[in-house]
Amino acid sequence: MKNIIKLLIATIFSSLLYVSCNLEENPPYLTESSVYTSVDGASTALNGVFNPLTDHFYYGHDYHVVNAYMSGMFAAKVGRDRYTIGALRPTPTINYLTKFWEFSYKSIGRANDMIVNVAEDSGDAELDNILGITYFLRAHVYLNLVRLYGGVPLRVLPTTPETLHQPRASVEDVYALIIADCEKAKSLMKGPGEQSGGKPGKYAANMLLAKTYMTLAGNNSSSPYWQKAYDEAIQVYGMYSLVNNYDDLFSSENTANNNSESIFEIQFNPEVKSKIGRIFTPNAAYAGPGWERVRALPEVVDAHAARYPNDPRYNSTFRDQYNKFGNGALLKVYPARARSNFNVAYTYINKYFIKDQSIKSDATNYNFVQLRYGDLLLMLAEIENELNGPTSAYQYVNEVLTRARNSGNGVTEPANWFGLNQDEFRAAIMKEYHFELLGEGQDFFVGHRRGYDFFKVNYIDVHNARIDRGFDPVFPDDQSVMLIPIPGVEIDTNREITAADQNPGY
Amino acid sequence: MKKILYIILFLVPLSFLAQTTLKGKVIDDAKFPLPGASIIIKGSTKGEMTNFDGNFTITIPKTPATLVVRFLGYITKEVIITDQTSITIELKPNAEQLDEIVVIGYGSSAKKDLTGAITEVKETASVAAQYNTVGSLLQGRSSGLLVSSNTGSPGAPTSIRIRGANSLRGNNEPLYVIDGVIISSAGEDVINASRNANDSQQTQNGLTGINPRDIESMVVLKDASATAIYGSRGANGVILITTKKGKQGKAVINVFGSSTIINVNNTIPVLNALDYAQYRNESAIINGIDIPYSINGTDVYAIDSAGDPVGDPLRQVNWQDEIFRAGLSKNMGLNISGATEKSNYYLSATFNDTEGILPATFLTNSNLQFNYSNNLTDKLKIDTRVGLYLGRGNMSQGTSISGGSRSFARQLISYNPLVDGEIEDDEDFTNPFKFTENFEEKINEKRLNASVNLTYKINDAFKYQIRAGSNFRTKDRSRWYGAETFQGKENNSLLALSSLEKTSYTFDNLLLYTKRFENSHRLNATVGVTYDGSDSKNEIYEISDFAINNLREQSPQLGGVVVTPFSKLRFKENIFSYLGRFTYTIKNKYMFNASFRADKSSKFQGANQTGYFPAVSLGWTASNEKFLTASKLVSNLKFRASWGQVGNQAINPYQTLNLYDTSLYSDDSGSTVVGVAPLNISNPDLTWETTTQLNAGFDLSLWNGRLSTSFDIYQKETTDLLINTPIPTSSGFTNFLKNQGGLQNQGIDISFDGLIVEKDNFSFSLGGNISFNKSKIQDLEALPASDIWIDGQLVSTPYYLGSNVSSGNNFKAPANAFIQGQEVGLFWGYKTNGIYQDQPAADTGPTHGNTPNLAGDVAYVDVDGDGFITSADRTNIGNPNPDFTYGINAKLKYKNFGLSMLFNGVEGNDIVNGNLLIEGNAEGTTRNIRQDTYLDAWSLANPTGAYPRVGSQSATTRPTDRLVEDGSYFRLNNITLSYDLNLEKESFIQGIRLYASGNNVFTITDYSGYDPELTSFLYNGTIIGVDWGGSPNVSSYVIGANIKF
Repeated sequence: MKNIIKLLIATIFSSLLYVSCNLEENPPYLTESSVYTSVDGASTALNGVFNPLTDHFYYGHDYHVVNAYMSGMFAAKVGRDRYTIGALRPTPTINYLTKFWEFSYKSIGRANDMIVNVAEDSGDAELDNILGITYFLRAHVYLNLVRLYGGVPLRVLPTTPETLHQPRASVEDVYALIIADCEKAKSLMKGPGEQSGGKPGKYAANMLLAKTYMTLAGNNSSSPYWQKAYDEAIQVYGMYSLVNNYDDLFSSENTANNNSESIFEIQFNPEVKSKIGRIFTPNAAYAGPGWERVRALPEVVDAHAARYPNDPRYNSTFRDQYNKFGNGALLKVYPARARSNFNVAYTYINKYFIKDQSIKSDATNYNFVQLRYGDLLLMLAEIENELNGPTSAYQYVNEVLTRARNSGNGVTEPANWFGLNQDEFRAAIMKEYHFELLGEGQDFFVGHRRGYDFFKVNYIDVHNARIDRGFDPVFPDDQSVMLIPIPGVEIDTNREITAADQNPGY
Repeated sequence: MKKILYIILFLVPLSFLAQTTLKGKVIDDAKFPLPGASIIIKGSTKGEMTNFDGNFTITIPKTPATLVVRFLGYITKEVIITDQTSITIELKPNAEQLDEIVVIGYGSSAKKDLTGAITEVKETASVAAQYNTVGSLLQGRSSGLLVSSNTGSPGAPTSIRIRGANSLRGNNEPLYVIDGVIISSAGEDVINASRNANDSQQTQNGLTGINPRDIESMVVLKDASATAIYGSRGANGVILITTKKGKQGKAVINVFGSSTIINVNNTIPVLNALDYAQYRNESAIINGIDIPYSINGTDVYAIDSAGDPVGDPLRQVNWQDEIFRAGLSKNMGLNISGATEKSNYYLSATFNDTEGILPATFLTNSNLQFNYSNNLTDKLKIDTRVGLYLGRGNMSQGTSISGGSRSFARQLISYNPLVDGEIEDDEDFTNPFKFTENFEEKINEKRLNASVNLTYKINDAFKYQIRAGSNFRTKDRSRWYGAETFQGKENNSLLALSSLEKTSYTFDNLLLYTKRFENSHRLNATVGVTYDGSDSKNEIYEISDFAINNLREQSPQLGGVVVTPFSKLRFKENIFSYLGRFTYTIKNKYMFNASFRADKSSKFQGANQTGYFPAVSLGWTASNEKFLTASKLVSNLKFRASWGQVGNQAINPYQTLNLYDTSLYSDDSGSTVVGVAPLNISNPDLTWETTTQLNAGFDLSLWNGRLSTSFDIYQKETTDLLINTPIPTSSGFTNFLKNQGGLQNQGIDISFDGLIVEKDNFSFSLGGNISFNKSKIQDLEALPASDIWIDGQLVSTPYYLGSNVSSGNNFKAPANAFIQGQEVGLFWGYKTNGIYQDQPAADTGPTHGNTPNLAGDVAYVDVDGDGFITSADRTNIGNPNPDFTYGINAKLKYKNFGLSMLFNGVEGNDIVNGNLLIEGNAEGTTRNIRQDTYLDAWSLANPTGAYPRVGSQSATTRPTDRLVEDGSYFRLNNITLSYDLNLEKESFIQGIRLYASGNNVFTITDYSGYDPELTSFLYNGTIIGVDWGGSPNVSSYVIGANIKF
């Protein structure tokens, strides 16, 4: 009897020793060692860094909305936005700027993971290139962040349980990182002709750096940053070329995507979706669901028409009527119609307007070009004017204007510039950015980088003076318009950021 | 009288002559002495008791005499004494008393030996059959349980919390053990395939596969001494379910059927179409735009650009009346059971067809249960249990996190009540009718629960038991958004497919020891080793842009654009354990119990893998002491005390590792390229949550069990809480899982049962239970202290906030705060002080940044006094935790009629009704609102209005105390009237029972939403007590019959 019990116990315990070895986890997931050990793995990880930038909450949608509304040049259709962020009064809980923040850092986090895991001295040209692009992307995300939110938490390493909470860094520190990252990117990235898959070439880093220095130069003509900006921008000069017809930048996927003018472009396809078309297209204009979230304020439209009558870019940029999908009824808005109520008072942006009425969803191939050569030429013109006056600056802006003029059929505007003094040139070039690039995600930065006084005079005052209807949003007149608030969620969860650290006015 | 006297006189001397002294001993069937047994000479009042050794001496006045020997729990025996002088009397245990065996973890125990806090729930088959889930059957029937169940849609889930939330993670569901097999699927479902962050998946009942009708008993293990044997999975309490078996005798066949009608029991009072038109017009005038409607008497017309009415009057629709329907359900089945000396069987088959209150929603399921046991030899017994479940259905939409046009529940209330022409022809694709036509959520589930249990009797003391059990579950869900829903239009139809295949298994090796020693010492011991685990395979896929729409979920291949690539996700987890329990009972008076479990889990690393979970408990049956044995009043009095530690490890596997997931990008040719990205911040230091629980209580029965009551007081402390805290999104992630902090629960459970009247034809019994629980977050020391306002005081304390309720703009904020020293999940938001009645008042109030206040806006309280309303002004505005929960049941029997009623209720909890952000603000959008919101809105003419002015957005996004409502309710959960038709014993049909029943017959509550029982964020520990697009509850009425052959 006792033997039986002993035998039983022995059996049980020995069987248990066997199974107890089986308690280690072997998850069917990728780990660091399976990702970063090859060029292919690192290349896939780079796609992972790009991924958040394609999201609805970044270039897929939110970036455009935040940038446009806060630029003071566009009206918001949605009721809840109309008199909040659409009137330069965002609240810290608004979805757009909350999720934009989250996805910015998602991309930064993935970039940090790559930077830690891929050695800079691998000796492999492709690994270097991947690492370079990663530095470029990180710098670019931080540059968007610092210009929109001010000083933000500076995260350069993968987050660990010990580094969950980080305070806001100073604006200077963020710029220092952007400059350092761009320098690394310049040295590691391949040239534009050597890249594949629509990835940016190394001059994108020069251009980004030029933009950074211009922002740092602000409204100060004697700032040494203008020279630094010039040194970067001039390296890009001649490396890309303007497309012949301005309208080709937007009219079809074939000419808009990855053309000779594109310097940094986010690739979209029907699976990696962009909602940019919906942002600018009304629901009735095509089979799919349009949102028409962003429409131009009347002073913006009027200014373009007044400056360059018959500018071919005007019709590429604005649209004041469309045929309803289905019954074809013609619907008109300002300026084709009087501004009698909110719905007809603001002009559509034609650049990303969905022209193929049969599209049922937002499954298109349209990419988003964040940096293009036309912008670079205007930057060079502005920088040269600040450094040495207009004399050598005309050449750059006139390249842009000539292309614009040649895009039309025998038109004389926009005519080449001449005979301006430095101040006149500066005023004109700051407007020219909008005539060339309106709605392309640069408007906020153009209007804000020269500081509050510049923004107040050229945007707030202009708009508030133009108001002629009760439903027009009134812009506030204080420093709060310079930055958007740090998301409430970040303040709630981040132990290193309190309500006292919030941007002024929020 | 005289005669009697003579007889006595005559007898006395006779008996004196025959007087003998008898020495005897009373023993039980195991030959052990029974102390305290009573020996009475039949026909006299003379009696003796056995002493400590079971011996007695009695003087017998006359032989032959009959001795009556009684001992509680044994069959009374009569012995005829002729000329013996010594005798040994053996008593056999009473089989009926043996029924008082209660199933406990890894074994069973006599009820009288229990020392833990355990409640057993039994319900008749006809009542049980009216409950869809095991959990809802427990509602109101046991103390210490908070059951949340909303039967508004078929397949809706139930949540049970035993003695408060034990953890701050979402899923605090108890462990279910069905016939010895561990089932941990209460909150489990397929993985949501949808990438769209705005749509959460409807939570569904994860505890399918067991038909309440087949349940013999349910045992709720509440304190640590009862649950510690389940070690790292016992912290939330354990519910042991035993299915039925056959009873000795010839085969019994039961055939049953019932029909149920369900109706929505509450609707939201929104503006009727006419008031709505007026509201919209007023709002248009305020905003300086053209009015949308022309009103002529009771007709409303659309307006053309010149401002003139066009066409026919608009159709006026009450969407809730239009959409909700009465659902009809059918239930039928049969069971066959019986037993012989050696074997025992129970076979049951049921079929259930339930219709929901929304068109096209239904759930059809069938259960098959087969239980069989057989004594193969004298020593070897086999017990097998097999349950099979098949279910398929079409469900309603879950909570839409966005709460806007994507949400059916939202649209049903807020959709424009004015339609041009037929509802079917309405051009707007978010119309609720279109939604019901274009939305499908198909489910298909199969489940097999099987166990084999072999018991080998080694000798009288030792038994060896081996059990192999498996639970195999497959579930497919497909969610279809056709082109006329909001989601479908965005994507040209959208289909999300998910499937789950999960195998859980249990291997138990148990050695059981039962031994009685002299002087009534009993020792029971169980030692064992177990190995269990699960392997779950999940597949998800989402596709859109359908070339042809009408095949819906049947043809995903017609979709052109992949939204979520086909993905396989696999999770494996294992636990290996040693366990043991020792119970020592002395003289049926003193009980000592100790148990122990050591668990080694695959989810943790290194030294953290192993956890030890001890428990001890003591019991004293005072009523078996001499001073109470004679008491006519007290029939049972037992004091109990216990201490123990249990664990919790219910997190996903692989959390201690750095993982990467795929994420997509495109190349310049428009082809999708695959990317990878880190999935989490790994935490290699993760370990168990440990709950230490103290329990003390007593059981008291009076008047021979006519009144019994049970009282328990407990304290639980959980340390190393596993909290998936929201972290700054600047970390690149949104949540991080970490052991941090402690939680305390204290409470009292009381239950009573009284048999008030017991007569041949009439009986009435009343029972009830009430449970109080108070939780407190003890420490969150891992977080630094921050300054926050609580009850008007500035306090420096660690805290964190819950998740945002919505991804849309109306409630994009957390509703709950988890603050050290406070109860769990206090509502966190802004205090308000009515409406600014005039502009001077508005001008003096604190502002939101640079936005000025207007008369008719909500007046916020500037808690920190800085003149502005900022996030720092948030404070505690309510408490989602109830003061107490209770249930009352009454059973009445008169002749062949039976009436049973069950009431249950919750008292003292608050609900944040997030829907009021929309329904309670006359914002002036096209959304319909509640009647009072518009009719009692502030205006110059109505400066004392309770609601903000038309057009005010002052309280549409933030959680304020305006949303906080009392969530208490009292409900008639079930009332069943039955009639038993008794037929001739020899007839073919032996009996017929007819019954009629009502569920959720009435609810008394002040809550203004659909229903105070919320299921929206049921398994989400960071959103508690928030109603956001909740679904209505239903009342159901059943008629049915059981026929016994």
